[in-house]
Amino acid sequence: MIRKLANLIAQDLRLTFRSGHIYVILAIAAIILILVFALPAEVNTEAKEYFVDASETGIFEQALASLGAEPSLILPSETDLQTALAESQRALGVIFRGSLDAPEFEIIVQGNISDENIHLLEKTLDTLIQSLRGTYQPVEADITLLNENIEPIPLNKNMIPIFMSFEVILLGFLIGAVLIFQSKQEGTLRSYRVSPGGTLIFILSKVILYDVISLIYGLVVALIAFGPAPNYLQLSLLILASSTLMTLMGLAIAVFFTNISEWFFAGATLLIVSMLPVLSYAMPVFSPAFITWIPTYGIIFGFRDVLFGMGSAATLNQTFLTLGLSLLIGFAFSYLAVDKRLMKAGL
Amino acid sequence: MIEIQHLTHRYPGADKNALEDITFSIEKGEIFGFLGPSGAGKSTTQGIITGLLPLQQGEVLVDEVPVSKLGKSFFNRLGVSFELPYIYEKLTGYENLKYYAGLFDVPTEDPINLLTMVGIAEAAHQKAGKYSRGMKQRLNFARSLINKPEILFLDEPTAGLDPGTAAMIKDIIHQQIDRGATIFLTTHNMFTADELCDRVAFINEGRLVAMDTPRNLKLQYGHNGVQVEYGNGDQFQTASFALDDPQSKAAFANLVETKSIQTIHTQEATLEEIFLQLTGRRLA
Repeated sequence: MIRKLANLIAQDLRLTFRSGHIYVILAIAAIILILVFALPAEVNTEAKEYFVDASETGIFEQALASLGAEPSLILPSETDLQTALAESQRALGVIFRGSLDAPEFEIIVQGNISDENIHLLEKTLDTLIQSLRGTYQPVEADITLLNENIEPIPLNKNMIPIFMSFEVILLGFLIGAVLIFQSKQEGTLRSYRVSPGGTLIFILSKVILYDVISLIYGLVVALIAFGPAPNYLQLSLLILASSTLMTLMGLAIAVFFTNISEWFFAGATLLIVSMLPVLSYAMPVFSPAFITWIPTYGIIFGFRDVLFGMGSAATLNQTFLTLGLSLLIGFAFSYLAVDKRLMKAGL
Repeated sequence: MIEIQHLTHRYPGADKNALEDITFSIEKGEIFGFLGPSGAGKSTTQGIITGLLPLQQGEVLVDEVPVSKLGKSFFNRLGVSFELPYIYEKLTGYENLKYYAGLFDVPTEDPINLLTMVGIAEAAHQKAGKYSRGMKQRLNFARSLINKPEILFLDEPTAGLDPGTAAMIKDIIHQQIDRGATIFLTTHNMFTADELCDRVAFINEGRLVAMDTPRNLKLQYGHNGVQVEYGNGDQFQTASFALDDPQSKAAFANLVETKSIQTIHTQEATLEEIFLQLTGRRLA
């Protein structure tokens, strides 16, 4: 069986290279490395705030200066404020009028600021006035850090877990399906079916091939982007499990279609659904239950946890357990689908 | 060696059977021809014997063992040359055979030897997608021999080949018989069947309509006579004689004795004519 399997893997590898599919993977690797080296680790996205004290006492300006505000942000007149706002679309202005007892603020924004940020600014100004009056009562709150080792994720590496997940989806799910359609189109499956090859090694050859390519790709990208920091054993296991799962899913779905045109609607829908967890990754507060059930949810967040050293051991164990169960179900489904729909598909 | 008993098959959704109570047997070392027009049931029969189609009704026995009980290892004894090549176009001819050889559990032929045998060794390392139709057909044929099969299924093995190459393939088929193989040949080419087969079966609309050696069929359904072209002065004339009629036979002998004979043709029927006579349809 090992000899037959090795033979089939070698043949699938040749077909994958000669069909040019591998170049898609190389292109994604190149994009990731460009992201890592071309993007800065951090980008300041905060709006610049200009202040004008139009009161007679100048108490607002004094308070700002005592709080360490940058002098260039404190402007002498409303005309200067208008000029400064015209020069920067991300800037906003605050004009203080009246007195400490009867303060009046005017906030000038460009229209691209959220209500939440405006409310935060209003609250900050209110706190400042109360502090100046001596009536401010700070709220005492204890802060508990669940994981003290977590550091902010650098911007240039933030997308790597998504690209790694995308790569295993692309290889196993999409390119695996394309290989099936090529075999159907060329009729080579018929010749395979009258050989002693069988269903198991047909599936295993594709799984192992894409596992190895995914592993090489994932480890190279991780080494270049993160150096020795990640736990490479966990990363390797995660790559192998996720690649295997996506290949099994790809095979199980592809066998129900004759060619890529027929597959396109179902395949594209599943690809889009598989990428939905990216929304939760970009906006962690958006994690409805149905998204967490998608297998790629665990994969994307698993990559994040392993690559950035986030997540507890319990979280990772949960991820591996879920992936393990998914693999068992995926294998059973894939074997049945390939055996019934491909190996015994009639003439 | 192979026994087919009461084979009946219907495709899902079809309103009639594709095969209807087919029974025949193939002896070891025999070339058995299965003749019929497109859609007659040739490929369905071959598909059931090779396991590409499920056995619905009837029995297929190989060496008295039901084929359903033979398992995957049965394929080690089988070689199938499909009507269409079904080859990996992005692999070379050599790689196609090397890969296929790796699927078997029995000793296999050297791919280069096979490619040499079918006359495409010079293109062994070219991608099969660049091959001409005839070269693909030869690669397909070579692939069926890779595991030195005991039972060979050949579906239109000479279709699309020039006469020289077709003759080469026929020689190889005879070599396989000399090696001890049994051959199930599916074709609608009566000349190929007549030339190669020990016995032939005619299939039409899923039913067997005749089965015997080509010679017996021709004798049974043909006309026992001769047609003679002879010189008569400055002119050529043609005459036909029935050999089972004493008077006609004597006239034929007299003509041979007294005239300048140009050609003599026996009047036995061709397989094509017999099929037409039995079914009202042509083979091709």
